[in-house]
Amino acid sequence: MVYLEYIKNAFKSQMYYRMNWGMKIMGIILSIFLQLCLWNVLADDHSDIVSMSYMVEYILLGCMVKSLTASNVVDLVNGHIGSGQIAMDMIKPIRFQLYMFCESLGNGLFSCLFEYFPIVVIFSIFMKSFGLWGRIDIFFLASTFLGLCLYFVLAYCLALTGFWWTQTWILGRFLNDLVGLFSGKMVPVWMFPEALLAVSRCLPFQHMYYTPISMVLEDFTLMQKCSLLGVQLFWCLFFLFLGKVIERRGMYRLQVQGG
Amino acid sequence: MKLYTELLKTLFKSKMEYRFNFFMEIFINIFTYVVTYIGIWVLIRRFGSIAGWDFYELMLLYNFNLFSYGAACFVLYIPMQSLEEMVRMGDFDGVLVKPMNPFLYLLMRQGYFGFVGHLILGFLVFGISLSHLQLEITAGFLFDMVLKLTGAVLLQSAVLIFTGALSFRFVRALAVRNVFIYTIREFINYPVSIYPKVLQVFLTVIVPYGFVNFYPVEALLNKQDGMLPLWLADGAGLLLGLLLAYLGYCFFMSSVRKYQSTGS
Repeated sequence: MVYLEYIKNAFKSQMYYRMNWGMKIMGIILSIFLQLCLWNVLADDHSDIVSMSYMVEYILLGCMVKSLTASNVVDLVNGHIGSGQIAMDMIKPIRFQLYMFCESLGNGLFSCLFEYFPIVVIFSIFMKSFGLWGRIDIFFLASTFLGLCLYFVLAYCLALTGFWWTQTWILGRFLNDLVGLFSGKMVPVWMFPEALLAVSRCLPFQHMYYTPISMVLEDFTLMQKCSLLGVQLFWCLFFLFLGKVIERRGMYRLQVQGG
Repeated sequence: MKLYTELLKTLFKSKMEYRFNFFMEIFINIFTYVVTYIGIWVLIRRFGSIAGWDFYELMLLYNFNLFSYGAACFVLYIPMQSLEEMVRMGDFDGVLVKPMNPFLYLLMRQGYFGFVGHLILGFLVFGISLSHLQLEITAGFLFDMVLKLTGAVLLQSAVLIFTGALSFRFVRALAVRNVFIYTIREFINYPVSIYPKVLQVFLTVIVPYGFVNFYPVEALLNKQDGMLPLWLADGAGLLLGLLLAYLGYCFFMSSVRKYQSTGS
């Protein structure tokens, strides 16, 4: 299947730069270590608010979820629009959006399997949280996949503004900042003050990161888990539809120079 | 200096051709760090403090890092970032045939106004944090703070120059650069005292990022928290900054002498 080949290609291209890979591994280890040090101090001083074992599991699961969205979708899509490559993509018998998704998924899977997963397993052994892996179920996997889809469709909408404006990297960074704040990457969402929590509930960002993690760490009933998956699916469909509208309008503006 | 001012004027004029993009670049740099401050505020609101550091103390700590990084990057980021590509494509030959110091020529060719956002936010946060801390703000205090900030800027510059010059030796050095500039620097977003002793030594002696913000702010707040005595934390940043920036420059120039063109 042609889309599977795109995933494989993205996977292989990540293997070429081994030095980059080594440095990324080092970066991931340091980043996890930094978070563990910070939360160790906070949990030690305030064990009534949060326990260290909870935060270890939150950080490790968060790394796995985060790894899948490692690819910069806005730059990826806009690279095709800015260079005019999209004109060639459009005459191929493939769907452009699905092609971009596969490329992004390939990058994410590589990052997850060869960069984050081994490190997270080692940390889980050292931090005595190996039991975490036994609690991973189909709901976590489904929610992580929907979170990845949601990140992709939202970033895709922003990337399509490249038809009108060349500086889309600014929007990409804007998105990552909002995701960083509202998704629970910096601080678990339940620790937000009431006003910020209310804003966060109206936005899709927490469903990219916090919702998948909460499938494992919170005591949800089957009904609650299903309804959370439903909310994720709703946001995915909403931005999928929005993306289609923007794509259709953008195509009318597309001008490619050269012969 | 006159030449550099002329370059900045020309660069500014060219950037103002695309005003919307220019202001958006500054806006996004401010927004990114406002989000980080909100993240710290959320933590402090829930936990009260981090290892005895309250919100305004942490703001001052983080801001020393942000401001000095913005000031150093304003001059050095693009020249050092573009070096890898210049060396790989053999374009650095063009720099060497100019009748002036290659390091200065590189700095004068490029600059990035996006870092003005760091400086604007930096000034604002200094104002907010200092007005909320119980400190006696005198001319002497401000002079001391400027000296400490100068040391921090020099230290950040040294890291940018050292990691930039690696491009002459390894060609593909971007990944190493990113680890130093982004990942390791992240450790000084919080007080160095929260880390294990080995890491504290690393951030004090091996990659002395601790002198960018932790030790100077510790001395300004008169808050003994780290592994160094306050008198040493107070004065060492500027001297270390001067020394490392000079060594960085020497390393850059010796690396230039090892440069072998890949062009035709």
